[in-house]
Amino acid sequence: MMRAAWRRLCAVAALAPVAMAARAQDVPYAFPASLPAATRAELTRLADSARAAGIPTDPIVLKAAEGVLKGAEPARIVRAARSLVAEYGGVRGLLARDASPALLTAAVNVLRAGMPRPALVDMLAAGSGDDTTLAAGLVAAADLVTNGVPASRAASAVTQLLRRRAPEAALLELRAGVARDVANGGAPDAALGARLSGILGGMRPP
Amino acid sequence: TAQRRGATHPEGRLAASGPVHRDGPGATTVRFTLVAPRAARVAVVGDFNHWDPARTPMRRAADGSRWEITVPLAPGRYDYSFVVDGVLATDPSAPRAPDADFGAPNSIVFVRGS
Repeated sequence: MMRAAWRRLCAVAALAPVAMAARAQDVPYAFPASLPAATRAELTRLADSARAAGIPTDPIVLKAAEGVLKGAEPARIVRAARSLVAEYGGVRGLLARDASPALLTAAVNVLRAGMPRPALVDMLAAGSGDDTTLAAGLVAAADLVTNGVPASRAASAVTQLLRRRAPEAALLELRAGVARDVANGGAPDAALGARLSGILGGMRPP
Repeated sequence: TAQRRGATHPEGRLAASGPVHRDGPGATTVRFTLVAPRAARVAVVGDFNHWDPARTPMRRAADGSRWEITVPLAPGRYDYSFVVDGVLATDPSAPRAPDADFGAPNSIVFVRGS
């Protein structure tokens, strides 16, 4: 009995370094296998440092996959990933330490859509501290800009709704309504004005 | 495999109806459609399938000209594109996002929460 237990213990002890080495070599990120090993190693280091800084790593993996699909050189893919991490790092400082990954990503996307940083700061300041509603506002702002609304007008509309404590549904309604109007041939700026007035008109006065 | 960009697809100008959402119990599905009668192979790629054309091939519809696929997606904003016989093509019926990183713009689909 004692000898059997000792054998099991020896077996576990013998395997432990192997298991630890395997863990150390684990690559927890699904970077495309077609990338050179050195590029994957560089991206892994970047993702590790991003994770340590509280930055989500999925967008880095997706950026690398997008680059591979588009035929980008490995060096360009690494540059794009670094740039993305820098953008996340830039907005990380504007948000609470426990900000959700969804809010971080929404903040990065709104800048990528062409929104000036001061406008992002205004929208964040207008939020009530509820990550979900704030993220919905930023998503709406990014989508408005994508649909052709001038960035300053989009930011102003979303800031106004966030200050009025508009619910998430109202922000999503603004985004969807303007997108529909633009798809039907409406002018983006006019569509925003009409939709915003409608939503504000349906809210209780401040 | 890298897809060609900037190449002219033999289909010429592509047409599409834009992503169509359908809410179901606990999930939202998005139907992507592209009119490409002369294409031999069409796929949709994007943030939702790791930009892998092999993961989401589209099926030719009964009319022989449309290609379709329905994809379950969680709420969020996704960049995507079509791959038509190895050539990247944005969705002509969806908003575009510029791509400063790799030079080929993407289409955008927004999936609302149910």
